[in-house]
Amino acid sequence: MSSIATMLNTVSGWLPAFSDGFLVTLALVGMCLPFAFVCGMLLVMVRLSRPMVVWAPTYAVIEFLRNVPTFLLILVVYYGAPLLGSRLDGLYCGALAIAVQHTAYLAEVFRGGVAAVAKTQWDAGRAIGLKPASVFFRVILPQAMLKVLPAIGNQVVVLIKDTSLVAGIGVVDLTLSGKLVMERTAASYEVFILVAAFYLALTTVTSSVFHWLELHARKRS
Amino acid sequence: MNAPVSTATLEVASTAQTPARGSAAKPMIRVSGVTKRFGDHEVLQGISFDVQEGEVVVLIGPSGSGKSTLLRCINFLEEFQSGEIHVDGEPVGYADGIRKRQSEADIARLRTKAGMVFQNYNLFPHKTAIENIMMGPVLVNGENKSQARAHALELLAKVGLKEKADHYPSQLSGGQQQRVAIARALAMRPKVMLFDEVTSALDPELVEEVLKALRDLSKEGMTMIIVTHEMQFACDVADRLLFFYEGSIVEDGPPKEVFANPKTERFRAFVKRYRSGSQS
Amino acid sequence: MDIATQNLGYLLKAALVTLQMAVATVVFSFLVGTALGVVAALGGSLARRLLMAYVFVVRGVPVLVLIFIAFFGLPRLGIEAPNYIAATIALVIYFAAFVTDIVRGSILAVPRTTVEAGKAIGLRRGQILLHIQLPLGIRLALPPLVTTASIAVKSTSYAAIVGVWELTYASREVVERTLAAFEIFFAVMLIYFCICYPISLFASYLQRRSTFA
Repeated sequence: MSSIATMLNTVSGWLPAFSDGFLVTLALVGMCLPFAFVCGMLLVMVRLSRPMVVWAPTYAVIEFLRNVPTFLLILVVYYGAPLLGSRLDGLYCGALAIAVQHTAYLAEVFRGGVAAVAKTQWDAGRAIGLKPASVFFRVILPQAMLKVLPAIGNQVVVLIKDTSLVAGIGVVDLTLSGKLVMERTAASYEVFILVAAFYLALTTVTSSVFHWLELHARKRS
Repeated sequence: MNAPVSTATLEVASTAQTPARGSAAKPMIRVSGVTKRFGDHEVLQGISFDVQEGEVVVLIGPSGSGKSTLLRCINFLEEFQSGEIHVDGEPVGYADGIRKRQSEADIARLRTKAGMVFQNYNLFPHKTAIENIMMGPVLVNGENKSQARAHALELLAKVGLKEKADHYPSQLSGGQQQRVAIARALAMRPKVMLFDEVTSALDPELVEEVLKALRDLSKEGMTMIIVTHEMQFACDVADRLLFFYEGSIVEDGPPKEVFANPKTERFRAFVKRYRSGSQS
Repeated sequence: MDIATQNLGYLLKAALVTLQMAVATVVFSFLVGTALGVVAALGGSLARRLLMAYVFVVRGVPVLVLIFIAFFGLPRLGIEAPNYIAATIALVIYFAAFVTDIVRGSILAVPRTTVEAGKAIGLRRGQILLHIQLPLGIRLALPPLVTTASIAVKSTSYAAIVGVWELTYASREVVERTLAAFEIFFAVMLIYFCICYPISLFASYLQRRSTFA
């Protein structure tokens, strides 16, 4: 019994350090997610434009961002920013890199959603006299979002997990705080089990929220 | 009370084969006291009937009356809670007299005695027509490939699809796929063929080619149990008509007799609905 | 771009290490994941629940955390393994979970009616698995599996964080030495892109083809 008590004791000693790291992780998610969502929406509209001079380079940029490792993008911003004269803190370097990459990911998810909406919906919209832009925003987009809600939920989970990579440039998020606790105390890999549990809690809550949203959305349609 | 049902629009063929009545021949299929429940709903209520060798029995009735379920019990694709089914003298699903479930090997072996053709053909999409037909003989009977292929070609010729041997199901029409499905079932040389609404999923113009295949089979003396909505076809080809209603057999006899002397109001109502449907 | 070409030899050697790790990860995680996926689809309820728990946990945790657990945990368990082995083990455990879920879903997606047709001609359970469920399931599983392979290749770069000498680590070394961040990193990103983009194109091609078969 006493071993459990000691274990709980040690773990509770870790918690303050974790809570700081956890807040950093949450801050990252809080910065990157809205940015990626809004910019992804803007980007997909550019991607879906008619003229090739517009969508072709957009396609290239999106595909490029989707096919390079996240950590490498973080390193680009981290080492590149000082060269451009900015004194960006590691946290914001990571945030920028993750936000930009997830903009590309989400743009592609949105594009898939739009493609999945039946072409006949366009005709229906035009037939009742809506202008193309209105058709897009009032008819196509809502249906597209509904279709890819699960995929969006998935991407959010991926984003939460990607924030852990800032540990590689010394930003004390949840993951790195685990490493620090490990170095300070006598503990070893067990610390990371707790770190994993924190992430699991975060991603599970996120998934549940999206499941609820999907159910709610299905009821309305 | 039970006036004969007018057979004006439904012509009862007199060329249907009559089984050997009163013979001491062991029935090809014996169903006795079969009950089946889905949860609380009793979908089969003590069904009993025999089918003699060479007989063509057609099961008709409203949706949900249990006819397809009964068919699927015969080759044990559905389990049943009580009663016994014997195919070619052997018990199906449970050992004789006791409720012990047969081994997977025995169940598989007994299924080869009854060939089944499904409403949605259920061909294996990743195999060509001829490969579909060869699968059973090669994998179950251990036949060698060339032998199985020759036999499969014969069967394809029989259903009129020899030139489609190397086509994939996605390249065939519904009627063609269904005929391949019939050939696939015949490849195992079954003693009895079970047909579960085999034309219900077909476009109207494709129905006749499949019905023709069934008629040909019946003329060759195959024992057949057919579940169908095609009333005219049922009367043409059936030796016996079994009318299912809510899990029980309420009419049983040659089509002529059943239409002339229906025992129940339900059957007359059913036929009336059908006749008015076909007239409109 | 001179700096890039000067260091190209060094970087390409590191790229080779990345490729080796990627291939090892993909091969082992796919083998393990396929086997587990079949068990999860067709095995008993205990096996299925355990495997679903495994998938759920691993997918909710960042791969970097798994790499740390393996990196610090293996010595504690008495296994003295070089850092790239620890990282690869973590990657295999991580991606096997994805493969398990994909294979499980694909096998279960084979229509029950097709399986019944197999039963109706007398096939045994093992024969149905081998000749019907696996061939049809794998066809369904290929597009998401190929996408997973592409993600696995990119994830090898996270091993750099525990000090594994591979392409990302080497590029960081060079940048710290030469300060030519943009040229070096751009060249390296191009290398990753040239590996991963064809893979993702292949996945799209498979996705389009599977809607016909």
